[in-house]
Amino acid sequence: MDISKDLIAASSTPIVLAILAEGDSYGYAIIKRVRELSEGRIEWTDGMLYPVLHRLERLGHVEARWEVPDSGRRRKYYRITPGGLAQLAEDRRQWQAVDATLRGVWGGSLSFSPLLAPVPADA
Amino acid sequence: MRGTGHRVRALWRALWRSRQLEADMRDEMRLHIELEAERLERLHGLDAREARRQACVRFGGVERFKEEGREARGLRWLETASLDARLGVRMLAKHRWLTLVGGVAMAVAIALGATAFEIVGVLLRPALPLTDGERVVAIKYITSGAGGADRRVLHAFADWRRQLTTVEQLTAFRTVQHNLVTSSAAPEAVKVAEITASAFEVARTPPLAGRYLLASDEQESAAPVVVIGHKLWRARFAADPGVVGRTVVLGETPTTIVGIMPEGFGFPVDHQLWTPLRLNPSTYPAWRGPELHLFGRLAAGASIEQAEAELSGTGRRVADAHPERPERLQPVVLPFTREHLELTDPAIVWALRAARFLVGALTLVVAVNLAILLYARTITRLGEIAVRTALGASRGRILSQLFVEALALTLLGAAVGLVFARVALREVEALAVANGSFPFWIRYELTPGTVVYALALAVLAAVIMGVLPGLKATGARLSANLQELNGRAGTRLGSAWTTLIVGQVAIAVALLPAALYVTWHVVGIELTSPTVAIDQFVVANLTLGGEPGAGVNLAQRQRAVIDRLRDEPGVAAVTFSSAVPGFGGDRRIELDPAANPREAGAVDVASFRIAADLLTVYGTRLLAGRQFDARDTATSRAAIVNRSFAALLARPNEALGVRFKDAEAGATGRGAEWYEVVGVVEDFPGFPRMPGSGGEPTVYLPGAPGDLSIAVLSVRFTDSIPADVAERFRLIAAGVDPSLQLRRIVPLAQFNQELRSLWRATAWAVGIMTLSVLLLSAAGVQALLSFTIAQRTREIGIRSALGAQPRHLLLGIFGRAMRQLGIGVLVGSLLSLGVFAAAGIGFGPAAALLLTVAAVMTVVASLAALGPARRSLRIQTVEALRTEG
Repeated sequence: MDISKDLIAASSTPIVLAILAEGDSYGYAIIKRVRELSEGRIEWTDGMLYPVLHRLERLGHVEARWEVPDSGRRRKYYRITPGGLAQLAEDRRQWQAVDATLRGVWGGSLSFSPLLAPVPADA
Repeated sequence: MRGTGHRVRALWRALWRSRQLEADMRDEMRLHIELEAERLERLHGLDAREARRQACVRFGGVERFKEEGREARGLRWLETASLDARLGVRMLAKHRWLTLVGGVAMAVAIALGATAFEIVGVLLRPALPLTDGERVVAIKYITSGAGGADRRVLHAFADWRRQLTTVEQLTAFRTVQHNLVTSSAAPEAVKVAEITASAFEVARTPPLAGRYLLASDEQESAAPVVVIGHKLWRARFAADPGVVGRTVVLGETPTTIVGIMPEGFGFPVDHQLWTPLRLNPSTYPAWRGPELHLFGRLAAGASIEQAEAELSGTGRRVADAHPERPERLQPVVLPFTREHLELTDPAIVWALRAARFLVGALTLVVAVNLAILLYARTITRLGEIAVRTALGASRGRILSQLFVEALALTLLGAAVGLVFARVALREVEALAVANGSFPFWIRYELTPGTVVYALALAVLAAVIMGVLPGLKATGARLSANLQELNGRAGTRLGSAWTTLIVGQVAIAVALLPAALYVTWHVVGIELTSPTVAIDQFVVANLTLGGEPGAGVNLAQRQRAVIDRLRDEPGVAAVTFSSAVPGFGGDRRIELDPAANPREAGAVDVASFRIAADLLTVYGTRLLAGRQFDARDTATSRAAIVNRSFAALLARPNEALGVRFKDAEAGATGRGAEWYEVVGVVEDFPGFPRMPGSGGEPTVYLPGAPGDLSIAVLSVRFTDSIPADVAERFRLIAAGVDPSLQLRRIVPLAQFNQELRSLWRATAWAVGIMTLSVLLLSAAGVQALLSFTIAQRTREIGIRSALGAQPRHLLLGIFGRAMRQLGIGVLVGSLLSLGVFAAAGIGFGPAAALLLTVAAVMTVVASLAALGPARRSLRIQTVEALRTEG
């Protein structure tokens, strides 16, 4: 199933933030995690991740650092910031509102990925 | 808030670490592709090359994502600006002549603007560099009649000191001159502030050592004390900390040093010595006594207006109590700095502000001129602009590029201009310091505010130079420009731009004669050799000190100093005059009509009163008659004149016996009597004091010791002048009479050199300004002619193909433009003649200068026309026919 470019673009920020909320990661691993979570339904062009990460870095939602893991190659790790967590919470609310609206129209047959599970009240 | 802080940091990083960020981005993406290629090799068994190819395909366009990454980081604008800046710098290198013309013109304009901004800003700054310095105010009486100040206010001061509530710590001071005699150095004439102790409370500056003056020091019975300044402490006492408590002699009075003030403290004006003011009002009648300056601090919460209201009540009562004063006296309160710079009249303050604005606006005038030239360059790039527009560049993007290109030029000009301004400010300060009083709160230096002002001028000029021509060039006609990529045939300069160029030529023609006039005479000063052996002379001012009774027996005391100097080893002669030879006071005289003068009416001459032997000591050649001798005294009516004076007569050889008198004296009295010429001497000393003053008619009148309160001594040495001459002379003068002071002791050669330096600097300034005006004119002429060719390419090609002679072709093409320039030259010449007439310069010299200017402008215009003319003759018929008519 091909997901439209618009929807991919709109969902990229919350997906990246949600993956980083699980733990620090680097670009290639994030892409792999997206494929894994979407079970291959969301197919990003790999390169598109980086402008998203750089924009999030400029906005202060993520922070980056270079690390040399045991495997030996230097990698740039990203970590979500408190500002990023707040943004993620806000994104969740908005996507849930969209989800609820579409469920109302289409009779509750929608199912979002676990990334966009309901937000706890204290988030 | 945190988010904003993070963004600012990110932007800062982006600005200063853009190379690092680029490298990071590249490494990050490379790693991604390598990891993916390894995965493909591992899982699908691809060879390394194929795996990398597929990884790259999956990744997408690296450059595109890099570009998006830059945009995501907010760096896109930076890259654009950087590209524009690089292009702007390249344009500077490509259009060297435009860079030279624009750079010089902009540098001169910004130098003038920045210098005026700094100087006027410093002058108008109302606050002293003291704690709450803006609350220090001066008080003075002004008279309604003449508008001048009356400073004989000892009685009013005594009343106000008791009564005023809006002004606290009311202080009075006057400046006197004394010889300072210490055991460690030769006596030196120094300026002393006689001041009430309250001044130090006003200043709120603690002493560096010891104490400052106290109210008890003002008592008649108190021991004489003095507080010294940091500069004097270093210069005269080698910064000896043990100087407090030591006794020095001020004038004739042994005085104890009680304190040292810190560095930079020169309150109230530029003083380095402070003694208590001891004046008893009861010893003077009202409106009599010494002239005093009054100042104090505004009380807490009080304003200048409130202080003035309070003063006017008490002030009028004081004035009304003294009906012997016919004028109405009005006390005024104003910022201390304004009063001491004579900026008391609001009209003068506004005039200064207006002058600063106008000098700044000069940059914008230059910018408009340069806009014409940049417009010409922009027009030649219309094709390129049209293509870029067609490819999607917005008008704003193109304008911003033109703006940055112009900014590169104006910033270059601003940088050079600020260097000029720094040099000029230093020179102005050095000149002001050398010529006497320079208030301690004034420092002429490039402040950050002035640098920002200059940069703002540069940005504004860049808007005028880049955006205005850009708006015109990218206006409604832009869509048609794609069709004009080859010929630019449809481009027109427009009447407004043409008028500006013609006006510019007119201004150049109007300015050039005056500039040439000044330069010619400065060159004359440079080339003139003194007619006397100036290396053997030292000049010094012999003046009276501030001690009571200093003027008593003046003749005897002056004679004693002269005799004592004459006894010094190596001294050949000592003589005196009322001014340094060559620098006499101006006097307007009327020649006896019987003397048959060349021109009727009064004439201006330089006038000196001299010792009988001065002309002999200087070795001045006698041309006719006799030198002064014992017969000639201050009351006699004999005069010696110089050769230039004799030249005023129809028969210069018959100057002896000619009579003259003061033109402005009444019909009776001393000035109304006739002087008679008894001798004629050569013009001397041979260095003119200012441009045009060489060969100045001069009269010498006899004088004797005692006739002059300030006598300029000329001391001639038999051989070279000793290095310690100043110290030796001061010692001699103070030894003869402590109340006589020798000030400004300088070798005549140094005096002459200082004078030349001043005029040399003036000539440079005039020269650079003139050069910039000339270059602007030349560039304007070239732009006008280039446009003419662009408009008439088709016609030129056809006429050339039909066998037109190059001479006729050029005349036909440039005839109209040259007629327009001719109008500019004519208007400029008329303006220039007006300026010369106003300056009293005759038609003959003015016409000669105008002819020179006409020649200069012809050369400049011809050089400017050379390029366009050669281009026009190279136009090929086929090329011409390709262009739209």
